[in-house]
Formats: sequence, C-alpha cells, structure tokens
Amino acid sequence: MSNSTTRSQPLTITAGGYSTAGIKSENQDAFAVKITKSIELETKGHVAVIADGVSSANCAAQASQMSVCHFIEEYLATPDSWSVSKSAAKIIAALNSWLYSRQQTSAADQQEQQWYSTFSAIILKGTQARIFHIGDCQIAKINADGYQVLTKAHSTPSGILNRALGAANHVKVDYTTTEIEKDDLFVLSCDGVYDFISKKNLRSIINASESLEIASQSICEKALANGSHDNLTCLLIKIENAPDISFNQLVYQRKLQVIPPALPIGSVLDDYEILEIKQQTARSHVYLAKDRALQREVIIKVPSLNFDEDPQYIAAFIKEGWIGEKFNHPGLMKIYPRNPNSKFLYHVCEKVNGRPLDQWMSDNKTPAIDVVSDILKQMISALRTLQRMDIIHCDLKPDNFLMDDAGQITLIDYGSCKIGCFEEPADATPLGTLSYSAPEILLGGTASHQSDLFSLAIITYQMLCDQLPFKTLSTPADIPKSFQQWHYRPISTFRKNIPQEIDETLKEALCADPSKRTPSFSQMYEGFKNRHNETFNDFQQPPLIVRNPVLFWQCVSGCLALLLITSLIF
Amino acid sequence: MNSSKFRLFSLNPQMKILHFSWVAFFISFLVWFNHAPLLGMIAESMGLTAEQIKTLLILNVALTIPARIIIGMVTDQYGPRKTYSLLLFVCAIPCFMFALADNFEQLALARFLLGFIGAGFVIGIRLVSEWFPAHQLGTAEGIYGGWGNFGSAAAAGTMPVLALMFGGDDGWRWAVGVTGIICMLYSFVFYWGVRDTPKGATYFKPKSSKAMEVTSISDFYLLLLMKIPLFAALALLVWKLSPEGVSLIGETFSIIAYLSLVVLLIVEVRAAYHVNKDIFVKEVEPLHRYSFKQVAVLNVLYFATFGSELAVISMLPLFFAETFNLSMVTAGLLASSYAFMNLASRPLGGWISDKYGRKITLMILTTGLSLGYCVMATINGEWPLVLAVIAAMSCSFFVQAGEGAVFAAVPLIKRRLTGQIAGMTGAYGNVGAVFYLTVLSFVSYQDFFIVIAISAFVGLMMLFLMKEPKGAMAEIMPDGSVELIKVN
Repeated sequence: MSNSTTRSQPLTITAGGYSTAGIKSENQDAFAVKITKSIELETKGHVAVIADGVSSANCAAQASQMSVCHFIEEYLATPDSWSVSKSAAKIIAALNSWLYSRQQTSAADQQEQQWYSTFSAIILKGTQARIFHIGDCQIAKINADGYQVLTKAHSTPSGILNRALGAANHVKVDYTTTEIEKDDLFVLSCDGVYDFISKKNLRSIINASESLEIASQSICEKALANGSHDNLTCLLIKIENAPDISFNQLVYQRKLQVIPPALPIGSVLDDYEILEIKQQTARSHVYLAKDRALQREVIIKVPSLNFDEDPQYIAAFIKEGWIGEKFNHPGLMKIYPRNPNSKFLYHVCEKVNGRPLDQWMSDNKTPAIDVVSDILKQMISALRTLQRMDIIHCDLKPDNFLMDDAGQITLIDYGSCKIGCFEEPADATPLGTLSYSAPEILLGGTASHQSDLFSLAIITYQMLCDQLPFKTLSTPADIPKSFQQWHYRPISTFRKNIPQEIDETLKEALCADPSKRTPSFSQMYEGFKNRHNETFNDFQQPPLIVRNPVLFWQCVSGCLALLLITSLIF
Repeated sequence: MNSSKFRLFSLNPQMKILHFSWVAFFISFLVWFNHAPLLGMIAESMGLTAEQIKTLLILNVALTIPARIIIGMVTDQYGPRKTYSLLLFVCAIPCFMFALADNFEQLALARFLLGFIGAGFVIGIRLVSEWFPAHQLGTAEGIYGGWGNFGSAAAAGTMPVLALMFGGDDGWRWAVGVTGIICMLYSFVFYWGVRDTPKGATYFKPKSSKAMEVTSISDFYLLLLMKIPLFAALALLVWKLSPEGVSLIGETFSIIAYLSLVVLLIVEVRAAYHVNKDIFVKEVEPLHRYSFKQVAVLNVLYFATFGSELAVISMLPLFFAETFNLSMVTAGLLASSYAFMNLASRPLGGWISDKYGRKITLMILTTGLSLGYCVMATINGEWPLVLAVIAAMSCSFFVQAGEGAVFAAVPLIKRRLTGQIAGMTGAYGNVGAVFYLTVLSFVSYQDFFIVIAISAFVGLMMLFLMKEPKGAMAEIMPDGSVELIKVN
C-alpha cells in the first residue's frame, strides 16, 4: 500500500559469539542470541543477552545461565501486543525476584546461595535497538562514527560491582535506545574482554576475520594474550538489512489484498453472502452476512475505497483485525481469524446485537445512576482487558459501543487502537474523534490509558445528562491551545439531582492535564460504586431558563414579536 | 444510511446535506450571474459602452481563480459549514454594492469581488465527499454541481422578469438586491442546517496538502507548465484593466499586480518543489506512479467545457437580445435554456462515462461540443428563433455532459490525490472563462464561438494522449460473487 512497505525489507542480522573460561577454572559467563522471523520479528524483534556471573557469589554460573535462557524464553512468551519496554521490564523484575528468592530460601538451611549476575540485553526491532543493562558487561555499536559504548558499568572506580541481578529485592535497570542502520555492528562483551583489548585492535580483528564467529574467538584470544584474568565472552551482531521505517510485517502480508467494491444485497464475498447493508459511510462499509460454511450470521467490515492509497488507514485496519482476533471478553467484539487465501481486505466480526450507545442515550435522556454505573462498570472491565494487553483505544465514543436488550455493553471498533508492540512514528496523525479525545492527544502529546479514561468520563457525563462537559469541537480550529482552556461545566448545570460526589469524580477524571487526572479506572469507578444501590426517582426537570437560557429568551422574544405583529394587524 | 440505493428524495441526513449543498451552490450561481441577463438594462441606465460591459463579464470570473486556493485553505481550517455560511454572507455585500453602484468603477469593483462566490464550488465538493460513501460520490457530486449550475438558468429566467416587476430605470438594482438578500438569508439557513461530518466522525486529518504530488521528474515539469496558464489568465486580466486595455487601473498599480503574480508563481513553484523533492532523489515505484498527462488532458477539457459554459451564460442573454432584437425578458428566458440542461446533462455525463468508458465518452462529447459551437457561430438574425434555442440547448448538453464526464474520470487518475486533481481541474474551468471572455472583448460573437470550437478541438486531439483510466480492482459478477478484475 505504501512506498515503505513495498520497498522495505525486514530487519535481518547475523551473529557470532565465543565464550571461554580463560585462566579460571569455571566459566561463569553466558550469552545467547535469538533470531526471530515474520510476525514474531514484527512484535518482539531479535534478542541477544550477555550475562557475567559475579565471581564472588557461589552460584554465579547458574545465575548467568538462568538469566540468559529465562529472559529470552519469557520475553518471547509475553503477549504479542505488549511493547518491548513493558515486556522486558516485567521479565527482568520477575527474574530478579526469583534469583533473590534463591538466597532467601537457601538461607533457611544455613547454606547461603548467592545467585548474582550482571545482565545486558539488546533487542533489535524495527529501526531501533533497545538496551537493558545491569552491571559491568558492555554493549557497544561500531559504525562509520567509530566505536561507541552504549552502556555504563555499574561499579566503583576500583572496579567493584555495585549493581547486579539477584543482589537485592529491587533492581534498577538502565534502558537506552539507539537507531540502527544497515552494516551497524553491535559488540556485547564482558569486562574480561573489553578491559584487555583496545578499540582499534578489536576493529582490526573484526575487519580481518572471515566471519563473526571467528572474529569473536580471535578477540577473546587476543584479550587473553593481553593478560585477561577473567572469563572471556564476546558476542558480535551485524545488521545485514535495516528497514527504512518500522517495517510492518502484518501490513506487508496483506498488502496485496484488494478492497472489495460496495456490495449489494445477495452478492457473495469469498464465502459470505451479504444479507443486509448496515452502514455505508465515506470511511467504511458494514454488512450483515451469512457465513455459508459455518451457517451463522456475521458482520463484515470493509474499508472505504477512499482509503485505497492511505497507508496509515490501511495499516490501522489490518492491525484492528489482528488485535480483534485475540480478544475473548464479552465486552469486546471478536474478529474471526481471517482467511489467509482471500484476495480481499475485510474483517469478519462476531455479530453483536444491540443499538449504539448514542441511540440509547437519546432514548434515555435521564437514566438512573445505577444504570449508568452498571454500564460504566462493564466498559471499565473491557478497557482493563485492553490495558493488560498494552493497548490504548484512542477512539472511545458512544457510537463505538453497542448495548443489547439485556444491558450488555460491547465495544465494536478498534480502528484507532495504539498497540504497544507497534511503535507508531512520532509524527503520525492522531486518530480519533475530536469531541471525545483527551486534551493531551489534541495538543500533540502522547496517548496513555488516562486518555481513554478521559474519553470514558466524557461518555459517562453524557449518559448522565445528555450534554458534553466541554464545548463541542467540530473542526481542528476549535481545539483550545492549552490545558487551561478546557472549562469543565459542572453536571449540575444540566441535571440537578446528581450527587455532588459524582460531579467531583467526573471533574477529576476530566481534568485536562493528565498529570492531575484520576490515574486509574478503578479510582474513577470508586465514585460510582457507592451509589450502586441508589435510585433516583425524585427527578425534576429544572426550568427551561436554567437548562437553556438562550432558548428561553429566544422563546420570550419570539412571543413578544408575535404579539407586536398581531397588535399591528388589528 | 441503511440502504445501498441512492434515494434522492428521502430525508435521511445524507440527502439533507446534499440538498443544502446544491441549494447553496445554486444561490452562489444565481448571485454570480445575476448581472448577465440584465446587462442590457444596466448598460442603458448607466450609459456603459460595449467594451465596458465585456470588461464586467471578465472581472466577474477573474477573482475565482485565486479565491479557490484561499477558500480551500479556509475550509481545511474551519470546515465547510462555517466557510460556506461566511462566504454567502460576505458575498452579499458586493452584491448590494453592485445594486447601488453609480458609476462604472463601482460596478467593476463589485463584480470583481463577486468572483469570490464562484469558489463556493470547492466547499460543497468537500462537504459532499464527507457524507457519501465512495461508490455514490460521483452521483452526489454530479447532482451538486449540475443542480447548482442551474442557478445561472434561474438567474437568466427570473432576473429580467423581476427587474420589470420593480420597473423603471432602477428595476435591475432591485432585482440584483433581491438575490443579495436571498444569499444573506440562506447563509443562516445553511449554518443552522448543516453538519460538517456525519455524527461522530470529526477527525483530525486535513484533506488537502500544500501542493500537487507528481511521480516522475518529467511530470514535475509538466506540472510547472500547467501552472502557467493559471497565472497567465490573471496576467491577461491585469493587462486588460491596465492603461493598455480599458484603463481601469493605473500604470503603477498594474506593475504591482504583475510583480505580485510573479511572486505568487515563485511561491507556488517552491511549494511544488518542496512536496516533490523526493522524486529527484529516487524513483517512485511503478505501482505508485501515475501519469500527470492524464490530469493535463482533463484540465484542458474542463477549460473547454466549464470555461465555455461560464463564458456563454455571461454573454448569451445579450447575444440573443442583440441578434434577434428581443426584449431582455425574452432574451433572458431563451438564454436560460442553455443552463437549463444542467439539471440532467451533467449527472448524465458522469453516468454514461462510468457505464461506457471514460475515454470514448469524452471523445464523443468533445466532438459534439466542438461541432455545437460551430453551429452556434453560424446563428444570425435570419435564423428562426426556435432553431437557435435548439442549437444552444444541444450544444449545452454536450458541454455539461462533458463536465460530468471529466469529473467522473478525476477520482480514477490517482485516488489519493483526488482532491487536488479536482481542485486544479476546477481552476482550469475558471481560467477558460477568463480566456474566452477576454477573447470576446476583442472579437465578434461568431468568432468567439469559433474560438471555443477550436479549443474544444484541441482538447479532442489531446484526448488521444489520454489512457483509459482503470476503475475498480474488483467487480461483482452476474452470479453475485466478487472477483478481482484481471489486469492484462
């Protein structure tokens, strides 16, 4: 669809490493590389780890082995949608706890085991290398600019290590990123190597060697000859091919699929017979269809031909399908696995009954608070699932929720989702709907789960009083220029019998500045939970002059004008 | 929105928007050409020369060319609803100015400023494209454009009657004033009745970008070449107004105008370079290439079709009145027959071209309009009136069907750039009008028609350079299954 996806190649690397005990009796170092392919490369990337067991600890070798293997294995097993930093941070924390707990449990039987290790990992994904570092191994990049050390040793000037995995209950991890380009070379080495070989020497060995394997061995041997008295480990990774921009395997796989034309009733797309046209807009076409193979009704969603050449929209559409297949929650519409042989680009979705929430709102202008509270609870449950999967929805609005007769709420659109594992380019146009988007998104900042919380609060506010808490934004020109210009209108402006606490809860959730906004969904729900059993029967509509002073005066002047005209005639 | 059918008379929100839009454009056209059928009366009451009248005609269409760009930017920023409401409201002012003018200079200034209202076309096109799904857009825009253009027929038919009803020397002033009032009132109706986007679809993304994208180096130079006529038309106008022409503006002022045109051209070229500088570094992949030649051909065709339509509706009432010695009312009514065809022929042109192929349709229509104008050129006082009217109507059928067919082909050139291609094509329509009306100011009516016929013939020749644009990638087979279209 876009220039970049067709021209771009996936990120490919070659690697070679060598480790030796040197003059020591035991090799306490460990290293490993995992080269991934296709969608795993897309979501997780290539991983390389080097660990150096702390020689003063008695279980150093086990600790380093354990760290390297466990990290790679567990990292690749994190949910596909998670971002690199979230995944790595979780695994390192768990790994540290486990290593540290060895010490605690062993202490009980008098024989203290110390599972200490340094740990340096590099994850190569898209156009970036991400580095996670604890201790005194070293990760360096060699390119045209020379040999650049990317990590800092966590040790005292005299060389005593002061940070290691498994040494304390909590461990601080250094996290840095660097851009990668074709022919960049990454060197992962332990202190037994980099302290005993000059950078110049190292580069000349690499240049002279036939393969990375041989180069790493020669480097270790040279360091040993130079008097290294420690274990020696060196791992070299070469970038053979780097994508121009974040290469998108998902989009690449489906880019040859064609957007089907507008489908009349009775036409057949693959094995789906169109029964009813649900919606046709300038953005998408939605049909009710019959799955002939499985004899069930499904919803078919097709992007508009208008987006034929809009790579951003098509990519978002494809990602929507990918993520929708992973959901298994009553509040999240399921997208069925796609037919990989289809020539067409569309989603087959679970048929969700019900009417859009905005329609429900116009039918129920002043619902009881416990009804709203129940809806909110269901929405939060669905959003928590998204949050656990490291997904920010970015386009929560009433017409993206369906409500069935039993009151079940289902979120039906994931087209604007920001999924952790797909790093969006920083200059990507934000998606979403102006009036429901959080101020930080409108002002060009980054979206977070709090942005979804903001949108959710707007919907809740609207359910309660049929109005928006801020003035409607209909064009980009309407967007206020700073957080101070979002003026919250108390809900009592529109509906009198809403308890003060709810107004305050909403006001806090609708704080324009995300740093002052309610931090979590549960905290927002607190304000409603206590109200769950309250019903409000004492609803009185406030007089027109309060609800809409302009309309009131318009009516008054209208009447007066009419009277004047009549008096003129007679 | 729950139907695949295009239900014109249903009151769903989409159709409501379409109706609001074409009425807005209709009123724009009514105001824009409210002078044409009254020119005889105006000339009489103000004592204008033939040359001055022709100058007014050119001035009326001149400002539209740059105004389209400005209006496009304003629409991006403030949305179609506010922009069109404001445009209608503001343009009522020069309309009143025209009604109240008491010398040629004031008339000229008012007419010049009224050129702005012609740029309303751009706004409506944007609005309709927000509301209609891709497969109905052609029909919707055909109706919008066609029924809107019909406003000039309404002007031709009603303005003289209205002027006579008010009576006296100042009758025309009242008639023009009435259109201004309608325009002003409708600006409020439009403001209250229209939403920029369907409910829940107010998105961030602006639709247009700074300059046209091309996909090869030679196309870049062709783009620059195609920009020149846009500026040449304005330069022609400046020259016409300068002391060498009708001397409406002074020497210094005309030099300033020329210089600012040059500056504008440089700015445009820079913007075009800025957007396209990548093509000088690396080649665009074959899949993403498109030929700018296609755009150039459509531009020339629209120059001949819409350009001639604007020019002809400006002069036709006067032409009929002078050739057949008719009263302004009769002449206006007869002249309205030309624009009357808009109701059906413009949408029809789009439909035929979708059904029978774009290139062949355009060829037939262009041949037709070239011959049509040749016939128009032969009209003289000895012709039976009926025959003259029939000639005008059949000629206008080809012209307007041609407009519809041009716009039906626009989205097929490069879908992603549809907005920009449509904008440039539309601008060429206005350039055509300025060009033809300037020609008219030098030559007889007969030669004027011949010039149009010749330019249409040039368009026809250029059509041979055009490749049939490919439509959809997939189609629905007779048995209902959806299949890819084989590309040979």
